This record gives sequence, structure tokens and C-alpha cells, in this order.
Amino acid sequence: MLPLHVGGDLDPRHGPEVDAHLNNCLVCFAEFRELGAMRSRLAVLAEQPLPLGILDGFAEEVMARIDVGEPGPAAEAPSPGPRQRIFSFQKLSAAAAVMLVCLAGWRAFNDQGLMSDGTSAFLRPDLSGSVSDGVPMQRQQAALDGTQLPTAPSGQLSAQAVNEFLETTWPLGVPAPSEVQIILRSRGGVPTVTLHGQASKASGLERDGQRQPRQRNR
Amino acid sequence: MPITQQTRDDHEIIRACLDGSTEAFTVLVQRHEKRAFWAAYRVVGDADASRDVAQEAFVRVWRALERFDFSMAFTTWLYRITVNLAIDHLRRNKRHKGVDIDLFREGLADESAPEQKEGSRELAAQVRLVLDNLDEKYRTVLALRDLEGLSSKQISDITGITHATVRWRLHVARKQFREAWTRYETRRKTDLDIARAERANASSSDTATLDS
Repeated sequence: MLPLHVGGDLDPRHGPEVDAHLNNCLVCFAEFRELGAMRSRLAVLAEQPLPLGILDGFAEEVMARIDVGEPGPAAEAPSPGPRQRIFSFQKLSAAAAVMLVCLAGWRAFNDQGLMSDGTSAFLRPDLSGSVSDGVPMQRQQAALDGTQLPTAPSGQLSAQAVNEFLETTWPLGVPAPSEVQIILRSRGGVPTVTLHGQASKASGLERDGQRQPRQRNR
Repeated sequence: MPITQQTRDDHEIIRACLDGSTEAFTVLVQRHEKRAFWAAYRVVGDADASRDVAQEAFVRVWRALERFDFSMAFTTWLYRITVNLAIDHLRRNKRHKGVDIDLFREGLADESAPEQKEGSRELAAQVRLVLDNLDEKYRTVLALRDLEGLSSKQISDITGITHATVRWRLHVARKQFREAWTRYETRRKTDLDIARAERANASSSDTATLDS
């Protein structure tokens, strides 16, 4: 309790009890003081000023890094609005329902990295360093069901786009399924990708119906 | 989620971005560049790498802006992306090596009491070294709470772990930091004692040589 109490993070119901104990226990009081000193040392780090010039030209460089050939938020079509997530589960007639998960360090595709309309790929997320923190995976699956991913104007989906989507969407610490599938299909001539929930049990990487060994895209 | 004025302003800017305004996005970046930098730096510990991570976070924000959930504060989303990228950077680059203390030396505008400033910088470097030796999941929570000053609830929203897990990791992180600091201090004092003893031996053997 003391490491939490020293930062004011203890449940308020326990505060008075802990304070009363500290008034009577020299050992615990000494540890409490040491933990307080530790926080003071961390505060020194928190008070460091910005390195001189470290943010000079920051915004300009960000805008330069944004690929001007890549459509921005308003140019994406179709664009249902700011909240793009479609929470209803959609059953596919052609393929098994699957879901994409990405943890930091996970790479989805091989070096070629592109999918064409009508293809599918099974992906095995990199589970190294993943931690289960009790957040049900199914809740995350439901949240991503039916989510549309932006595709390049050519209708192709790049591994980078998939990874970036997941890295901005998938919470830290939520366990990944053993494998997921992406399906790319066209609707009314407008290429879209739809994610669906349930992890596939298949292994390996499959493109255009041919199962291939998975290669890491670092 | 309580709506602050900053959140309202951010949402207005995001709507302008969604209408196609890149100028609005520049404003958004300028409003939050420091926040993103520090969030990255708390985890990564290297200023140049943190700048790169923070810039990449904004690029990801731009690409994912149409999926922004207006029920959340932009800062929460930005923290989430930045911390994810920072941890990704750590994993790719294994351990952070050294502390770029010189960059922070240049950052101090006030040159009064330079010895005090130097002492503070040395201490900051030592704290950084100890912090960098914590496991990344404990380092992240400790950095967000005790360096960025975020609440447990905010950390839970950013990282996607439960509030209870945040508090547990904070408990462990503070204990581990204290233990690591004690080990570091003990080692440092031992090294200093050894150095002093060696200097004393060297000067007494010089004296003996002169006498003979």
C-alpha cells in the first residue's frame, strides 16, 4: 500500500488507516519516507526543460512527412463520418470471419505487402511481449467488427496501412488472437476492406488462396 | 468524459481537418507537439528518437483522423499512439544506451548558480539510468503517472489496461525504482571508495619512492 499512498493513488477508504499505522510504525514510516524521496528524484526528471531547439521546425517536418499523394481525412471515400467503427457483426458468405490485431512490433505481411481485390491473407501476430490484462478480447473484436480500412486509390491495401490502423486502434496489453484474416472486396466499384471478428485457427500466410510461410516485414 | 475547453477546441480543430484543412492540422500539431515529445521521451529516454517518435505519432494521427472518436479527448488518443510507438521503438532498439545529458545542458536558459544546475542535471541523468532499467510496462506507467502527472484513469484509457492493473503496476514500479536506486547508489559509492583508495595508494607509493 505504501508505494500507492506516497503518490496519492491509494483508495481513499484506506488512507486514514494507513496514516494511523505510519504514526505508530517506525519501519513503515522509514520506508514511506524513502519512497517519498524516490518521488522527489523522479520530480527532478519531470522538471527538466526542453532541450534547446529540439522542437524547431517540428510541425513543418510533420506536414512534409505526410504523403501529399495520400488522401487526407476529407478525401477518403466513402467516409461515413468521424466515428468509422461499425459495431454490427457482418457475416461473410465467401470467407471465414476474422479479425486483425496488432501489438507494437507486429508485422502483418511479407515484404511484397500488397493485396489486391478479392484476395485474402492469414496473419500471425507477434505475441512477444503481449500481456493479458483481463480486458476481454471479444470486446475488442466487437469494437473492430466491420471497420473499414482506407485503401490506396489503386484499390490495393498495403501492409503499412493495416499496421498503422491497428497501432492507432488496438489498445496496449490486450491479448491478440493466434491468427487473423483480412478480406479485401469491392462494393459498387469502390474498393473497401472490411474486418470481421473471430480469429481464424489457420496458420501461415496465404495470399490468393495459396498458403505460404509467413515472412516478417521489419 | 468531462469536457474541458481544451478538448472542445481540439475537437473543433479536428472537424476542420476532416473538412480538408491542412492548416488546421498544423495548428493541432503545434498545440500538442511538446506533449507528444515528452510522452515519447518519458518512455524512450533519447531526445532525438523521441522527436522522431512524436512526429510519427502525428503522421499516424493524420492518417487515422477520420476514425477519431469524439467521445474521447484528443490528448488521450495522442498519448495512446505516442506511447505505443515509443514502446515499439524500445523493442526494436533493445535497451536505451546512455543519457543525452548534453542536450539538456544546452536547454537551460538561466545560467545562475551553474553548480546547482549541474548537480540537478547529474541527478536527472542518474534517475534516467535507473528508470531505463525498469521493465517497459512498469516504466511506462511510472513515467505517465509520476513524470507526466496523468491520473490512473487517464493511464487506463491510454494504455487499455484496467484501472486496477494501472494501480498494481504503479505499486510495483515505485518499489522497483526504489530498490534499483538503492542498488545503483551502493554501487556508485563502492566505485567511489575504490577510486579514493587507489588514489591514496598511488600517492603513498609516490611518497615512499621519493623518500628512498
